[in-house]
Amino acid sequence: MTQTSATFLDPSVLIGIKNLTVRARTVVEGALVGEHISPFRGGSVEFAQHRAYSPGDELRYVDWRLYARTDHYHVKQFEVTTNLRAYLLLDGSGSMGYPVDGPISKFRYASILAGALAYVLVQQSDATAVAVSKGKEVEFLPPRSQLGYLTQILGVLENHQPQGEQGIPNLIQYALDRVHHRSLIVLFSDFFVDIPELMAKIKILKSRGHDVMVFQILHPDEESFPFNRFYRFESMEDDQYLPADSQAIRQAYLEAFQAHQTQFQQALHQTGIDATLAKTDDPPDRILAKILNNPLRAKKLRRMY
Amino acid sequence: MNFLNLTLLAPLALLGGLAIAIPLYLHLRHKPRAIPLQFGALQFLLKAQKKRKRRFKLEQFFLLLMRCLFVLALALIFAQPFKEMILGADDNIGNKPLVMILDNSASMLANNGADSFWDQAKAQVRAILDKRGNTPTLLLISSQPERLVSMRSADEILAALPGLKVDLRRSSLDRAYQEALNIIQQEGWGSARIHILSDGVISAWDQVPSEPASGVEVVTSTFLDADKFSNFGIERVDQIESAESLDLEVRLINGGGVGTTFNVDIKPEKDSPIQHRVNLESHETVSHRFALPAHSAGPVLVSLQEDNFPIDNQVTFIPGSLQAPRIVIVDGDTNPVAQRSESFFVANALQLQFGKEVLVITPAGLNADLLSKTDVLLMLNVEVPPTEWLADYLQKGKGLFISTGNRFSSEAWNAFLQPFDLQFWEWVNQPELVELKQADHPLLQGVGVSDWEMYLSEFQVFSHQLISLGRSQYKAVFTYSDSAPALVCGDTGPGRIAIWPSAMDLEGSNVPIAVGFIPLMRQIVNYLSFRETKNSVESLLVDDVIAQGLEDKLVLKHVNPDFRNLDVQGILPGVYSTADSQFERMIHVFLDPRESDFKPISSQTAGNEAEAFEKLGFKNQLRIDLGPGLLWLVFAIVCMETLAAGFISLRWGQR
Repeated sequence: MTQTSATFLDPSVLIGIKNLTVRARTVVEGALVGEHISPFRGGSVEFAQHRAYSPGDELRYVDWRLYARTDHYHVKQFEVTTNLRAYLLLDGSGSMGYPVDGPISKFRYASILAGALAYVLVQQSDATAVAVSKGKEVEFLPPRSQLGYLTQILGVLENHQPQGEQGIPNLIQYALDRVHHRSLIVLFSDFFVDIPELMAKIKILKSRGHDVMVFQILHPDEESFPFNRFYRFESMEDDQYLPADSQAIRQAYLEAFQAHQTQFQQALHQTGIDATLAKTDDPPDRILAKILNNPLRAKKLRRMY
Repeated sequence: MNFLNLTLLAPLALLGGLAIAIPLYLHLRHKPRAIPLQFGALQFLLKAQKKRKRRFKLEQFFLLLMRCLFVLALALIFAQPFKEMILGADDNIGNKPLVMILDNSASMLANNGADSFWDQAKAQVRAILDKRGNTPTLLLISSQPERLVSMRSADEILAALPGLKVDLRRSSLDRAYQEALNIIQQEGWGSARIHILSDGVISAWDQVPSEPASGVEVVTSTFLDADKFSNFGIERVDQIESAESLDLEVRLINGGGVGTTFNVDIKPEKDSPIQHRVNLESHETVSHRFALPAHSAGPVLVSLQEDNFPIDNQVTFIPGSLQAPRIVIVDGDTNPVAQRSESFFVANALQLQFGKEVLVITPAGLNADLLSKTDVLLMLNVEVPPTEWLADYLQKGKGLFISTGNRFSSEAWNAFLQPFDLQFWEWVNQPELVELKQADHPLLQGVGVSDWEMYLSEFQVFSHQLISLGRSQYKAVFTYSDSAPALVCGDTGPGRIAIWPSAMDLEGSNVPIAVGFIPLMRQIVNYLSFRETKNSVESLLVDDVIAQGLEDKLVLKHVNPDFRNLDVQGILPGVYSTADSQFERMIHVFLDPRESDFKPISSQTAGNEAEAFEKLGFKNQLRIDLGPGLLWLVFAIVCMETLAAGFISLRWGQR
């Protein structure tokens, strides 16, 4: 592992997630047998449960022994574990570069989270893909599960410099165009975009059966707006700027920001996606642990079978 | 043009308004000083700004406006604006001591169609006094500021007010104004108000004050409505000396605010009237000379049409006598021959000066009847004087000239002259030069001393008679080089006598052919006919009359009937006579011409700018001339500057 990789795979992060298992919330397709549950009844199976027979079920899955005991037809269901395809989509637009001269920018923080997640997934032999928006282009590494592939993934994350605008919608569109198998799609962004437009794309992802995880990365400045001088606020994505007295505009800013956040959270909630809000001063391992241990996932898994 | 009725004492201070550039500069410099900060969530700021934008712009605009207004207000304060005219100003506000200055010069007799300025001013003073409490209140009148100084309460002044009159003497407000300032200073009043009630005419001041002392507020009530005011006035009428006709010089003024044409009517008592149209611009004066036939001597009425200042519209002028003295020459030569007798030279000289009315006779032709009609009798080389007739003649206040010669009898003449203490002595046959002795003698008046010296340098007398002067009233006007009298003059009681103790022909001297002979004879005849007093017609201003102490000696001859009952102080304009000698002296009294010129203080100073500068002072001149224009100019500059600043400010805001 290279020196640069070590930057992302912070030991404290890795210790925090060492014993965590990434479990898919919904059934995903996979060729390889892994720790993820397959929705298909395959050959190498692990019995899961019985279910009352209904017309159309194949007769070969009828448990005749149970019929003999109960005089009722039941069919056997099996858990088939498959490999997970995970697509880590990182918003690499300009706004993710904030703060420019701070210790850790939003993109870097997102990279840590994504790198840790990739590490965990690759360790489990899950195919992991990474896509980073680069202006209007997208830098994409297709899903692979080799351990050595991790180095490439981390290299892409490390070498990217935030630039351009509208990163996340482009990325989602990119994924929609290319990801045909059901996959875990993890979005890392500040989501400072038009919410209805964004949600339209996310809904399409969901409708295709993808498991969507959302990490909203924010800097504490954006939430509290602690400025108190006359600044010329410059956009990090285009040429727009605004000279303003920060104290005078603070209230209106906070209102606009909160309105956006509320709208975003509500939209995600309605869609059935719970987002994780990560601020750059939060410990990344806690964030990872929190999302991976979310009890909702187990519950949803159980409901599927 | 008057800008909001405000006038500035120091309009140049408005240039300080250009300092408006400072807040503008600061304002504009302030904006780019914003610290650049790359911010990810700019879209929320922009959204917030949309709400705030309008308010922000307004705040910025008002901030800039306040800064600019602050600078302008400072400039305005330094420019010292004050209200030029506060008619009916309420002097009862506050408890400031009040000193009222009431203009009682003649120009206050003008009116705007109804009451005179004087009545209006008094009514206003009364209205103010009625409402005054116990706060110190003074009233100074311009002609006698000290008159009411002792009265310090409104009640006292109210009681004295009806007794105040317009004073026709020239007076300006300067003295009263200075007196008011002195009183305020002496009394130690930290703040006080001076209320000047005047017609608002520039001539009311000798020097218009430009700045009051600190703490003193000066309020002016003026009554002149310059645009509607018309006054055509007769400043004065003079008689021009002329032997052939009665020449009157009439000086006219258009003292109103509008240039126009008006009629001058001249009505001699004994002749047909003359009407003349005169066109005058406002505040312009002109002199017109009118020649009337000499026989029309008698009162002449010069009148103008009615206007707002009636007192100078009519003058009755009584001209002095135009009759040339009746001169009789008695030549002792019983058969006077041209060029060889005295009468030839003397008659010729006098005819040049006094016309053809010179009668030359021999002693035999002289009689009492002729003498009674004679003004000046010249006895040239007459042997024996007609003693009784001559004594009677002199007693009637007439003039006698005596010259000697070869027929002249000293004994006979000494017998006649003895009562007058004059005596001839012996002949001196020695050429002598003539010298000037009494340069200030009335006989010599009208010709300069240097001219006399030039004339006398040519005079040479070949023989003369010594004469002694027994009384001091006889003067040797000329002397010979040995100091013997060469021309003796003096009053003999009512009459006058002049003696040339030598011959008036070419045998006795070269004088008859010298250049100075004609003026000498003219002067002698004028002197003997008492012309300097007899024909005296003087035009004096009211102030001149008082300055010469004539006030009590004047006897009213004629005054405009409209003004006979005018209740004023001073001498009414009109015709007066004095009787301080045996001859009547006619004096025409006129108002000071400045009282007829109603040029408002705020008017443009077209015309005599030097006078305007002298009067108004530099600051006032600037205030009146440049003030309004400068105000508009500065106003325009400030507007443009503000617009530019606003435009730039908006541009900055949008970037």
